[in-house]
Amino acid sequence: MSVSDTNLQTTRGAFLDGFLRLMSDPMGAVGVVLVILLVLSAVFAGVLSPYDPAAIDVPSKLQAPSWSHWLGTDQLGRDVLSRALYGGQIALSVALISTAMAVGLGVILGMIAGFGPKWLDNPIVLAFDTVRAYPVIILALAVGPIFGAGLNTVIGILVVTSVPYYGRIVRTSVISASKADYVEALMAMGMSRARILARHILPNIIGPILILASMDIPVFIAAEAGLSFLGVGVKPPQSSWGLILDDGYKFIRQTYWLVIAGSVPLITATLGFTFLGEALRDTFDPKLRRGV
Amino acid sequence: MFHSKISKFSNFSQGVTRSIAVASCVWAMSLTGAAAETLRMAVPSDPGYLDPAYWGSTVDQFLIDNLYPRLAKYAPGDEWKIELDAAKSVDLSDPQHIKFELKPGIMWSGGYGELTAEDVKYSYERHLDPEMESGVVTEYAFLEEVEVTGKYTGTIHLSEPSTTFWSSTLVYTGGAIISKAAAEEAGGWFEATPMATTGPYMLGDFEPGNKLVLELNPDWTGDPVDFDKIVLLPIGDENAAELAFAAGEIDYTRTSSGNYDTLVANPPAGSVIELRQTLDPLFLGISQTHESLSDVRVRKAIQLALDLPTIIQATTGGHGKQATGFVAEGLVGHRDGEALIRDVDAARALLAEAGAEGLTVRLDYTNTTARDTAAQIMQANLAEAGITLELNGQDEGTFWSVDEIRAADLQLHLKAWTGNPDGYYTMQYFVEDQIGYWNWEGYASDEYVALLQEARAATDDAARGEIYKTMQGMLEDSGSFVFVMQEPLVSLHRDTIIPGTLPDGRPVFHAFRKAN
Amino acid sequence: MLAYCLKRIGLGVLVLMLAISSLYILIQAAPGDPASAMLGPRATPALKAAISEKLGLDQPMPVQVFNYLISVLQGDLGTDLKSKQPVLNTLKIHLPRTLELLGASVLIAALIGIPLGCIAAVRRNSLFDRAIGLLSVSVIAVPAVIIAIFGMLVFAVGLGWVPAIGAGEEEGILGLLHHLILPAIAVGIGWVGYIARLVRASMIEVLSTNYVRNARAFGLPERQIIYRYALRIAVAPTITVIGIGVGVMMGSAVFVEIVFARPGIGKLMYEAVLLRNYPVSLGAVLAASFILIVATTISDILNAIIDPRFLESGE
Repeated sequence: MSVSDTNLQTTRGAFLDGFLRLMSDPMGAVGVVLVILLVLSAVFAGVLSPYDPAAIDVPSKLQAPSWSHWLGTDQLGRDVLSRALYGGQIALSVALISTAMAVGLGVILGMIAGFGPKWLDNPIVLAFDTVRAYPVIILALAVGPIFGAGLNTVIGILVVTSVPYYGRIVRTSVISASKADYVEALMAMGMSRARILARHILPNIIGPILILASMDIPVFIAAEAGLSFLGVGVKPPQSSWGLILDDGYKFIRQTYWLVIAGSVPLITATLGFTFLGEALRDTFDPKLRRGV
Repeated sequence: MFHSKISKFSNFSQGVTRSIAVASCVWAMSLTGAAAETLRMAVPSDPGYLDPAYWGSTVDQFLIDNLYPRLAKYAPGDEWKIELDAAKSVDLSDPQHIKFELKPGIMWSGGYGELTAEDVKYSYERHLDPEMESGVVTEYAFLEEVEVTGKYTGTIHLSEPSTTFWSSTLVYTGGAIISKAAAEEAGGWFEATPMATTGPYMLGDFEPGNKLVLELNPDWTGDPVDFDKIVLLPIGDENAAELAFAAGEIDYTRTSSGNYDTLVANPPAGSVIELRQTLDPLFLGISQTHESLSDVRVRKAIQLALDLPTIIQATTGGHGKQATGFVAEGLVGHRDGEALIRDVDAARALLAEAGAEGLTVRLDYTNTTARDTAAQIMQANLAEAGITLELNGQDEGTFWSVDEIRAADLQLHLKAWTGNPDGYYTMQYFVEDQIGYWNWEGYASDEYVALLQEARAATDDAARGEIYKTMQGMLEDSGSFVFVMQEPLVSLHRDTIIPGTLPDGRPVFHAFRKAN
Repeated sequence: MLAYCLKRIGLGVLVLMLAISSLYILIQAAPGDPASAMLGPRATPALKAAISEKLGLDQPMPVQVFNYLISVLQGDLGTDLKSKQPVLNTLKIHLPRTLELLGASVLIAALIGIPLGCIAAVRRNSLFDRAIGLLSVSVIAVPAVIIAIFGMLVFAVGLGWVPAIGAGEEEGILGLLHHLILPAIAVGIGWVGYIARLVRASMIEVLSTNYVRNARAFGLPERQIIYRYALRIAVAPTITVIGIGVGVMMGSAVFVEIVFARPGIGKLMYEAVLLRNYPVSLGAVLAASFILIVATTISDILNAIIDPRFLESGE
């Protein structure tokens, strides 16, 4: 993997230019629009929700969509639209926090492995491989109940299982960057390793990493929904798309609206972020394409 | 002779007519692959303990009730009545000394010989062995000994007259008789290991989490059965079971009464849907042994904060009725018109008085859709009173197994016990000795124990009923019990079979028949 | 080459050992004492001590881990706490169902994905190509749990074409297939897009080589060029990504097994965890990790065989 010089710390003009290029790709434009809609709906869930998402109204349970309940009601008569909007808050915060932490840790560990003391390289790589040996969902199931179901557990599991992914890529990029002549020159001039990493290597590798990270957001959103569906994620009275889906699955013989209400936002979110990630990659770093 | 004696005990249940709404629909349907000789049934979980001393879950009870003989048991049908099982005759004329004679020629499976009075003696007396730590020791507390008077005959001696020992222990799950030879060979106690049983079916293949097969017992010489094989499939959630039924994968299941109306409106092809009133009390237990719940005002606040009519409406679709106690309507000892009424302000005031504002407690319950619905409403109800309720849905097996760590940690628990027509059965468990076993509420009262004794000795139904009413009032006043309802259930079966069940829909395996 | 293979296999074994050990420690460190879980209502202190000793739970953690690894190597995965049967027996019931599911999913993904990718490459930049491109991205993005539930809603509950539940073990080969089809599609569909994209990319690369240009110049029919030569070369890279594929599909399989109440490693794991049945959860994770490591090792070795440059970078 070669070093890309299209890092995101360029001038404002270049940023605008990039954005325009992104929007000129239909997939990118759709992605941008969907993601903006999602972010807005999550941020303003409190204002947009017609009802309290936890308000129970048993007499009007399991209703089909109507003017008073746009997405119908669940088995407790709660307004599904309100629950879906609040579910979006959870989904986005889980995805963003997990991605940020995974990238942060992955970059630090990858740089240590690639450019730190030699004896640390092998153990770190071995640790990465060990974590990658667990299928994510299976590990989450095994470990989730140990730490108790909840948001923090979900985030923890997602971070731990995706750090090795970033770590390995960073390590490889760092190793190839460190062979560059100018790095050797800087070292010969006596500049510290940490300084070289921070000033010269990191800016060169961070762009592609961020693009890859943007492609992980939909995976994290799906994982949160999946874990909540299995009962090891978000717990009531909090709302989550996975919980709506779980209710929908249970009442699948009574109504199909719940399944639809849980899956439409989930599909929209994963598609939106996937389109955006793909377009970002194609626009800014087509070389990544073969890497997947 | 026996029948005239026993009629007295079944009298109290005759008034209870089981209203069974039958909605049947006949569609051309094909059973996907299932062989006609195999009966497939959904059960809530795998069995845990098949030793009558340690049974806990619903499935443990199904299997123990069906596989082991008892002197007499409740008969399949729409009314609760007792019929002889392994006994040829029983003399109940002296409530302190019960004489019995066994039917000859009942053989244990696995070559453990014939069922004798020695087996009866061993089966009953083992519960008294302190090393056994039998879970049903309370039921046997007044057993002195079983005197063997012949190969098939014996006398059960009690330390005091007890009419309820027969109706709530010997004919019920705790009265199961096991093979002395087989049990001793296993070291005196056993768990899920298949043991010597009697009856037309015996345990076959067991794939945990997958299925449990009951096969024909080659040593069985009694009445023949219609199905060669019964396959029990563990499906924890009632909606999943319904789905399996609709997909043609099972022939019989019980499901939540909350689904009754939708089922009738949109019945799976070739199904018969029946709404059944069970005797099973659904109640919320509040452990007074837990630090944060030791103040009676806190427990009463929880009682007052709950919106029971809404919970019942949401989980039964209006087919359930709020309970007043452990004894169902129409049975001896039922309390009239004393159901709890919600009062959130009073609940808040009690909490403030007890200095327990901002309380957080945990609710354990079995993780089915109906229970989860009830739990989420309770969570919202308690939130209005300022109490945070953490929900802890567990599978059947985990929920019912109490070890000492869990016993010390129990807080709120929503649960249904299997009901016995005699309220004594349930109420005898709320004594000090049962704390850590079945008395999860930690209720202990000398006055209550004295009333239990009075009830045992009472031969007059009306007098006993009054005692039961007082006892239920005491339990409710302790703040540790919230009676929700006697849970109605729906049973769902193919029109190609005629299920053999107790009045509440609990399966009696040998009584299942093919419809022709 | 042989050295690389041996090294790669050795690494696989080492990683598996480390993975089991760390999980063992994690699970043992969890609250809830296995001896109590095992004994249930009979958990007296004396019995608990006896059980702990029997299971070796009273030993220091490194000794416990070592003993567990040794017994795993001897094929002993311990005893199911609830059913008292050997865990290996339980795995023997569930593992074939999961392998069946994964195998069928890979097959479906390949049977649909390869032709789609091939056609897209041949008709590069056509409407069809774009549609396939969009579809590929979309199916990759949709979570497996949604595909499983919708599959169930439409084909099992709605249309009744396929069974909604179980694996049909008792109904012969046709019963097995009938039960397998919907779950396999649910697991495999996401991978269809992935394979289609890979095949398309490598096909385009192959079609632009001199080799193909020469073949055209010699007047070989286009059909023969594409199907005889180009496709054969272009499909190779898809085999090498099977390692990633199995990992992703195993995650999907968990949801599919639970939604369809299908016996398998995922469902076993889910239930064992709920029951605090730690030998079974350990065994299930072990089986899943084993499948994953075998798959990645094989795909790494295949990669090395196909593309020797791979050996040098070590990635």
